[in-house]
Amino acid sequence: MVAQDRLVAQMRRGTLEYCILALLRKGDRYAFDLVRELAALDGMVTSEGTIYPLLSRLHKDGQVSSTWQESPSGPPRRYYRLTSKGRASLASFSEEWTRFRDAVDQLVGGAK
Amino acid sequence: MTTREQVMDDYLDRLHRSLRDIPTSQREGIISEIVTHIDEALDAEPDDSEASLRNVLDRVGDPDEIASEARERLDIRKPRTSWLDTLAIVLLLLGGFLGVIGWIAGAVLLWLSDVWSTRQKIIGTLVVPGGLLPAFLLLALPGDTGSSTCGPGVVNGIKTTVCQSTGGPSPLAQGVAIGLLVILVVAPILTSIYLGRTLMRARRLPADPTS
Repeated sequence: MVAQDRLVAQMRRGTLEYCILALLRKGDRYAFDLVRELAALDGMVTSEGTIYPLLSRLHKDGQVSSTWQESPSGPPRRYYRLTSKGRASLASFSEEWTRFRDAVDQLVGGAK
Repeated sequence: MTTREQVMDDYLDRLHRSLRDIPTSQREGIISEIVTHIDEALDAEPDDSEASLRNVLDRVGDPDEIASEARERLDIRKPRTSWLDTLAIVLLLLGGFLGVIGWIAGAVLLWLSDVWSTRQKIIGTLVVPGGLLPAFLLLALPGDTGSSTCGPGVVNGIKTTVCQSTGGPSPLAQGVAIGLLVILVVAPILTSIYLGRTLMRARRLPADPTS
């Protein structure tokens, strides 16, 4: 069971960055909002703070860009936006993911 | 300071400490985003009690967990450390007394090591070449009693001709010599401490999860 827990954790870790990219597909988001939405997904992240290093890496990779915008209340907020590189990376993952999911579903899907 | 402020300060302290080995440019960004996140989360809480703050911090997560996530996501691996790193520091400081080759061996070990950044290696090499040897040589220079002497001498590790005028060294020259001596003693020691701290930090890092 321990090995299986680790596998599930690894799968979540591996797909988290594409979940971030997917959330940005619909439009610019500011970090707090983005993080809260991810944290609300069942079991996707264990703690909110761990998403920031990943955002930092996506930013460094050029998959997301960021701008500061005035907020109606409080200090300015940093908004994240999907770049064309991020969009391409999301599209290619999404294709791979569908193939992978379908293949596993075919074998494991009815095994309940 | 209220308990609430104390709790917040403790958390931020731990966060800074845990993220110490993350490159500065990214560390600053991550910390400022997390601080903003905490502020926003507190605004969404019903009250500003200590319990609310603790709940928010629990959700943000343990600094060590955030740091290990940062190391993994940013692909920062634990440097390989060995006793040769300690030897490098010792030889850089004292190797000069075994002959110039002793110090050179220290410099070679420094540059071969996985622990220090290029910037740190440059500092380790240039501050001060020969370690404590130049300070020792400055002390060993023949004292001047008033007559005019010219002869070969060594200043700062460079062979040169040293001439001194009659009447003994002026107070200014003496002051300069003492100042130089202090710098030549203190600078290499500070460099050793600086390199040593980085080495100790590298040894304390948790092992690479992938290896």
